[in-house]
Amino acid sequence: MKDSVRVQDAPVELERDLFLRVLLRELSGTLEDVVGLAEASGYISVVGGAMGERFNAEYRRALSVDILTRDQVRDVLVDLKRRIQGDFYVMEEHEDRVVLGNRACPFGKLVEGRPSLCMMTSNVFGSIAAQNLGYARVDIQESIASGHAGCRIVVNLTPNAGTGPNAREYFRIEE
Amino acid sequence: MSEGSKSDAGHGLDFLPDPVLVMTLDGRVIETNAAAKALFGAKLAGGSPADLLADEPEDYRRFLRNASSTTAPRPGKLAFHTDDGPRRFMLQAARSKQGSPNVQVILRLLQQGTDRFAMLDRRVKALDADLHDKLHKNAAMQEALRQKQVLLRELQHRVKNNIQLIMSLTKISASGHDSPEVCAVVETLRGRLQAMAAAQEALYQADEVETVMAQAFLEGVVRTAARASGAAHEVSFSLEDAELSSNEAHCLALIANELITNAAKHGMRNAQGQILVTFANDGGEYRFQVADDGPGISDKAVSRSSGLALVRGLCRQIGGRLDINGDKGTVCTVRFRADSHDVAKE
Ligand SMILES: Nc1ncnc2c1ncn2[C@@H]1O[C@H](COP(=O)(O)OP(=O)(O)OP(=O)(O)O)[C@@H](O)[C@H]1O
Ligand SMILES: [Mg+2]
Repeated sequence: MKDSVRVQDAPVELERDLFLRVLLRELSGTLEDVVGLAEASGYISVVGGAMGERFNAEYRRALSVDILTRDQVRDVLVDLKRRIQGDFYVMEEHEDRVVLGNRACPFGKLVEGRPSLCMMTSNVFGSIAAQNLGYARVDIQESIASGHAGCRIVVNLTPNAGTGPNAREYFRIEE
Repeated sequence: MSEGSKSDAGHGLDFLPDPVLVMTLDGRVIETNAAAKALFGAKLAGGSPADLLADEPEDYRRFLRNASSTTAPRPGKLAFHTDDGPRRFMLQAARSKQGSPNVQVILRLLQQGTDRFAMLDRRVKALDADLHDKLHKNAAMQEALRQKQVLLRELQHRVKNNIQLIMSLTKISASGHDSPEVCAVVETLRGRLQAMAAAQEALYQADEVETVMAQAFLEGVVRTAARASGAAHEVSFSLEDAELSSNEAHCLALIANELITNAAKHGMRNAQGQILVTFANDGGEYRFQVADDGPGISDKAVSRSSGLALVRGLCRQIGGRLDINGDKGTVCTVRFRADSHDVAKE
């Protein structure tokens, strides 16, 4: 008789983080199938917006400031992604925009073919930038989710420039 | 555009089939399109948010504030007063680009019934009901089947008990008669009833309600018959396995009893000899054989038989035949095919 592997010792790739990423992948895939990419992105946006507000409040509290400066916003965007195992970095910095690059998605390989999940980044970035600087237009020009080697994300900080097809505009929520 | 104006000059939304409302962050309507006017009518005239919005002010204000954070549409739900009472609408909301200095939010109401979620919902509900129905029927059928099996087992149990009852009745009837004829009749009857009881018992104990495994079953039958005819030490057996139907099991038990009794009774020399019982399964072709090394059997003896006549009758019941060879000892062979072959023919 063959030695049987105990269930507890079976070589199954599964732990909490992977479980949650698979869950998100299936959930977003289901949404994309059922309501279409545009509306699925809408739902992810609602979640992303709420998460952006939450993290914005967290960073403000941790840094003991009422509002983040432009430099702090830039650093927070990179730091936030680093903490969840993304690999974001500042590619370019201009008067009116910051261009961020990314070599590793926090969702890992599970993001491939799930562009609606990019709305998480767009909304979290947009929300944090707009809450502190008044306005942000986030343009995800390249993304791992849609098959690029890395992501290229332009965060525009002034409203006057032309809007690209994947750009989304964010504003400070008036109290 | 002046604040509070309800002119349609702003966005030019009349061409949209869905009701569209442009609101301030506190829920005042600034602009509407034709579809919205048709839907809400007089409710739009008052100018107070509470005339139109059915949610708590805190709730719709939070929704509007969140929607005002981006010009990309976000989905949500709000309740509105309509002529038919309050109604919740799925909607898409986004910040208007024209809203300066006052922030404006555009709401596009998705008509109930045309919104894709509602359609999907209905579809899922229909499928759900279908599935539920099927599962329900399936469960009912399984339950009915289970009940039948319980009843069948109960029946088999009772038949077995009745056979035992008959056995004790014959014993009681025979007691007081010590003539050898009566004793012989009772002994024969007991042997036959015992064989039937064994078959019944096997059916009743088996996992399957309607079949019996030949090997274990025949071993029990052979041992009982050998012991009853005082030949426990002379009988040896070689039994292969097969799945027997309840009919086959009953007949084969009686056949084994008759042939083993005969071998013990007629096939010994000075109460000495060997009896070999064989059951072979050649892919659904069954062969049951009882062989002794006694004096053999004459054709004349066969013709005035009673036990052997019973064996022939039983053979007919299972579509088998009996061959007797009395040249060297007596070899009685019963051949028949597995029941399923017969069933398939029908
Ligand atoms: N194994 C055997 N060896 C020798 N003779 C046999 C054998 N089996 C049967 N016979 C002969 O065949 C006759 C018929 O057998 P059968 O079983 O029909 O009747 P029985 O055994 O005499 O009576 P019953 O079986 O009704 O008690 C027997 O009387 C016996 O002479
Ligand atoms: Mg006999």
